[in-house]
Amino acid sequence: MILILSTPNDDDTNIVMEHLTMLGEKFIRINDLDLFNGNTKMYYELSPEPKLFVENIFFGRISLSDIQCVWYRKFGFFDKFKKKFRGETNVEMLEYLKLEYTTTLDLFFDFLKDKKWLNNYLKVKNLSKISTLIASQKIGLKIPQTHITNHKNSLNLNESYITKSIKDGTVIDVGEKTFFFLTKEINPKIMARYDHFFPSLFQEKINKEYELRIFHLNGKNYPMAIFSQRDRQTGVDYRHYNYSKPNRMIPYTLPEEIDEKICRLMKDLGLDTGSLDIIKGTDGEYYFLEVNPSGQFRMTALPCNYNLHYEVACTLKKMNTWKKH
Amino acid sequence: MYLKKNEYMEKTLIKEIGYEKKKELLPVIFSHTEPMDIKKIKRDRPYRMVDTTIHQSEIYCLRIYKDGINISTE
Repeated sequence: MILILSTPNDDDTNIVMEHLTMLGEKFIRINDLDLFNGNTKMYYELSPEPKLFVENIFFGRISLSDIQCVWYRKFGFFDKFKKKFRGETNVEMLEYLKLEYTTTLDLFFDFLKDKKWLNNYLKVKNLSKISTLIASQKIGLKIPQTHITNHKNSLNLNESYITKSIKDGTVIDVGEKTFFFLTKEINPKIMARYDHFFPSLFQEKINKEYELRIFHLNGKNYPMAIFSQRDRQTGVDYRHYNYSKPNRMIPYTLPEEIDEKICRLMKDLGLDTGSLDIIKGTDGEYYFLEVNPSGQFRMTALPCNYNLHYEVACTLKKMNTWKKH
Repeated sequence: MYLKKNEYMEKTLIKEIGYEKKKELLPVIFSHTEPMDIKKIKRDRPYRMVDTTIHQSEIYCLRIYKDGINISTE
């Protein structure tokens, strides 16, 4: 049986589940949030040996010992649970809940550690933007010059920089307004007002010819070019989506050397699947930016006709039916 | 003075939360991040409801996307 660790409203999960149904595979899905709002019951027993059961109206009661393989899609986003306490200002309470939330989910990871994983949870948890950049540099992928500093004197503000989160971006709601932490270009006027600041990540701004979004699955790359450079809104980061006039997105063929290096990078990082962001600079170079192991892949699958959800479902089927001889 | 929509939208997060005087205690991105016009996204989003039994999720799984971009999980 396949176990899908996901989150509500992840439509990539929905489409893969539709394919698994068509392929006749037995699977269950656990959404992180459902364990905390009571929609999925959980029961963990330590003695005489650890046992973990889950139960809900869709699949009944299941022992997780019966699981053959796990798809670690998106699991463990505290933000969705936190929304239920919108307006709560008691930081200690929220921190306590977050710790208990993460520790509860760790029980699942630990219990399932010997199963086959599509993206092993330990590899995903240990992943960081910086270690990924170091790894990509080691295998010869070009990266933008990157600095983490707490002082503006370490930067040359006559040069163009971008800033982004050192770990993961987030969304902050203030009243009616929503702030997305995406990549932002540094404004030298604003920086002039600073002396020091909370340690922040800066990267040289690469002049783009176009951007690439590449979905990787088990040694195969599915690249897409995004023509985001000419739109002021998407010029720095295509995720500042222009819904009125969306960027053009087309299938793309990577140079063999870059294709091989990406596969090597994913192998070195221990990731079976992930979405990579790369910039093709006007200088002709390919600049690796980052990899997101649980990034949505419909945005690559649909415009390029890659049928990635079927490919993921087939991979899971293979893992589920594979037996040791 | 009448403000154009874009000028109004340019109020950064640090101004919005009133931490301009404590800006040194926050990452630089706080003074560069502006609000996203999600009302427009909500207005424009096409969606369909899917059979929740297949997808084993009690929350309606909205397929909310436009031109291949999933708006709901961004």
